[in-house]
Amino acid sequence: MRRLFDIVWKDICQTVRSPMAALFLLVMPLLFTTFFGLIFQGAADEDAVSEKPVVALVVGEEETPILNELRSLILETGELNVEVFAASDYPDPCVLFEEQSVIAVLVLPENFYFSLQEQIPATLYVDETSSEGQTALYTIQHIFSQEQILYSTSMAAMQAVDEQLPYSSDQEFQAAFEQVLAKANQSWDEKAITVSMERTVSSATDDFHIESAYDQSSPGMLVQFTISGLMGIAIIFVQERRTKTMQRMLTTATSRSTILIAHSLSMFFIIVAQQIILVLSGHFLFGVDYLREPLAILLVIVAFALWVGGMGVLMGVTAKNEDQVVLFSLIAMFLFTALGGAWFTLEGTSETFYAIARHTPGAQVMRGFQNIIVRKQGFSSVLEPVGMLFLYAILFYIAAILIFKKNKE
Amino acid sequence: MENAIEAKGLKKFYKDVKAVNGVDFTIQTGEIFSLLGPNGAGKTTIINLLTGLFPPNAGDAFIFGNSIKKEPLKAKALMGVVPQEIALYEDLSARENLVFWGKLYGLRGKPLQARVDEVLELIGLRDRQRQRVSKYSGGMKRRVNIGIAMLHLPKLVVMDEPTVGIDPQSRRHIMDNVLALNKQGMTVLYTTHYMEEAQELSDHIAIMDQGKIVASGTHAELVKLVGEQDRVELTLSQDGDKVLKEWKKVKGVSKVDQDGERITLLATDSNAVLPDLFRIANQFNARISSIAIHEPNLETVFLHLTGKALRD
Ligand SMILES: Nc1ncnc2c1ncn2[C@@H]1O[C@H](COP(=O)(O)OP(=O)(O)O)[C@@H](O)[C@H]1O
Ligand SMILES: [Mg+2]
Repeated sequence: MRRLFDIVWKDICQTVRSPMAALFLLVMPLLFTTFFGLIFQGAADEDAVSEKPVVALVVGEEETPILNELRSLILETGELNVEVFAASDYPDPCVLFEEQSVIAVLVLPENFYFSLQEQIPATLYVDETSSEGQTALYTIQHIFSQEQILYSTSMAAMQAVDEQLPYSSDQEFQAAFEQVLAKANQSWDEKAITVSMERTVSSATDDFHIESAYDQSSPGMLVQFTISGLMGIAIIFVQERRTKTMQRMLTTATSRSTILIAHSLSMFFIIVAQQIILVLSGHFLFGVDYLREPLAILLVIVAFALWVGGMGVLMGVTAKNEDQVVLFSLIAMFLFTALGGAWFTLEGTSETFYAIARHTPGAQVMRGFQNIIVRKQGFSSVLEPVGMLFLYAILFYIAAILIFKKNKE
Repeated sequence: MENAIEAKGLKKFYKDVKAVNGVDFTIQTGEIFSLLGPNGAGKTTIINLLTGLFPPNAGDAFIFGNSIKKEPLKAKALMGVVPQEIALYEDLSARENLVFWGKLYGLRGKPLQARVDEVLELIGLRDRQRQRVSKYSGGMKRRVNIGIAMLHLPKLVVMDEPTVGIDPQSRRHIMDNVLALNKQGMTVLYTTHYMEEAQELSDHIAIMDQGKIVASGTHAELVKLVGEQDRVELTLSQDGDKVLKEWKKVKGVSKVDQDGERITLLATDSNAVLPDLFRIANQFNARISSIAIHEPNLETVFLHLTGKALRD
């Protein structure tokens, strides 16, 4: 057992010291993240405007002051877009969820300002379980709790009264207005809107809007260069066989399985460390929101490291020499990054390609990361991809162990 | 006292090579025992069997009574092994290598560090211990390679051709180390294809060829096997198949071996046969360009037993 960790420690020392390792594990991925990020940033910016989630405002009457007020307040948040629909066209406002990128529907009753006094609230339909839905809910609740909207709705109510039944003097108007405002203040908070749960269609693909190009390039390059990092461990195997240090270990009462497990473990630790550094850089340098679900991200990292570790060990026991290791790693890297959607999102690819590629381990990793950083889903959203990665890891380890046993002359 | 190694009927076959083909020998505790044989004789394969790298096809061996088949871990723990290849991590320093291998041999903490210091002193690399092994000369690497096997003060050190391909100075250093370690009580199994090394170091020698031990004993015992024969080494200036044929017929010449221009033969009385050798060469217009006569030694023994010269 202690021997196991002696070997792990030795592997780690060797890796940390190798300039090639630093280049491949950290420098290249950071460079390429920046590089791809810059290339695609322009495109993402253009998209971003139209791709913002939309709040559908359903109103009886267009162009009322209160509606204009609401619209500008929502737009000011920068999180949401607003589209206005006539209530008469949408007796069931929830069909609006079928429209692209509508994530919340806010129905303002006719003469909202009057209704306020009659305590008929506006209704917000929203899917509270999706994170975008939550964003919309909080944003709108926040807007409704602002003094400003309170003031303008009360004022609007007063003006409507004034039109029909003019107040005799400004003082009279002012006094009445203060009454209204006070009353509104009292009952507004809980009465202004009611929230109605509505499960919107929020399948993974529909929810996929890349806001920053780094949301793609950061996890993408992380996947690519983590896979290429398996070269390191596989080379340790091959070198140990070539330099006969492997045989020498066997003369010291260290078993073959100890050596195999030790190298897998070092691989695992190194890759986890690499990914943590890349994730933190992604978060703090490139503004990719990895840390909104740190545990989920960690789980993806661990599962990914296990799979790559399995692949590295398999390669280590199969490859005959260093050249083969490099060749195999490059093949694995290109195959799994291309199929995994690390360079371009799989969502845009042809149906056949998507159908095959989405099951590959690389795609699981991308899905795991992007469920958090792009789709803004919760912890549970990574469980399925992580499970798949564990399965892949097990497959690769089993293959490696079988070959390793067979090699034993 | 218990024997350090007892090998019984060891066999190891590869697809078309009988690398070790039924080998028996006993190494007494405290002695230096050499396996002497040309390249491909099967020395390394025997070492690999003894150190448990792979199991024998037949037979067994006992390290201080522990079967390499049944109790490999116990057997391994008693041995320090110096492999034929330089088995080191080139990207680590000598010290880091020693510490790593010391740990694998079960040493820890202060005793490990102290022992590493001692070994560095012993192999004469204390001053350069922090340098990466890749920067070392072949001889220095060899010394580290050997030092590793000494770390846990094993009762038995197994060295597989530890002096191959190094400068005379490093070679001397290594031989002296072997003798010193033996004086401290370590049993040594040493393989080589240099008969001088076997002769200088060993208490007992086993001569190997083609997977078998062809003779064994002390140096004196082995030399006695050839009787009063001298070994004559000649260089013939032209290809001399016919010359060799005639030489073999000369009375007193027993074995004749040819390797290009170099010819080695055994003669009971070299003074008596030399005139005949020259006369025959002249008959075929061949010139003898050099000649050397050696008293009986292990080289002579090998030629006598196998009909081949034990060449580098
Ligand atoms: N892995 C192997 N596969 C096939 N043949 C081998 C292998 N290892 C050694 N041999 C053969 O076994 C014989 C003995 O080799 P070896 O033990 O290395 O000899 P030595 O150490 O005396 O030079 C040689 O003929 C060699 O070619
Ligand atoms: Mg050998």
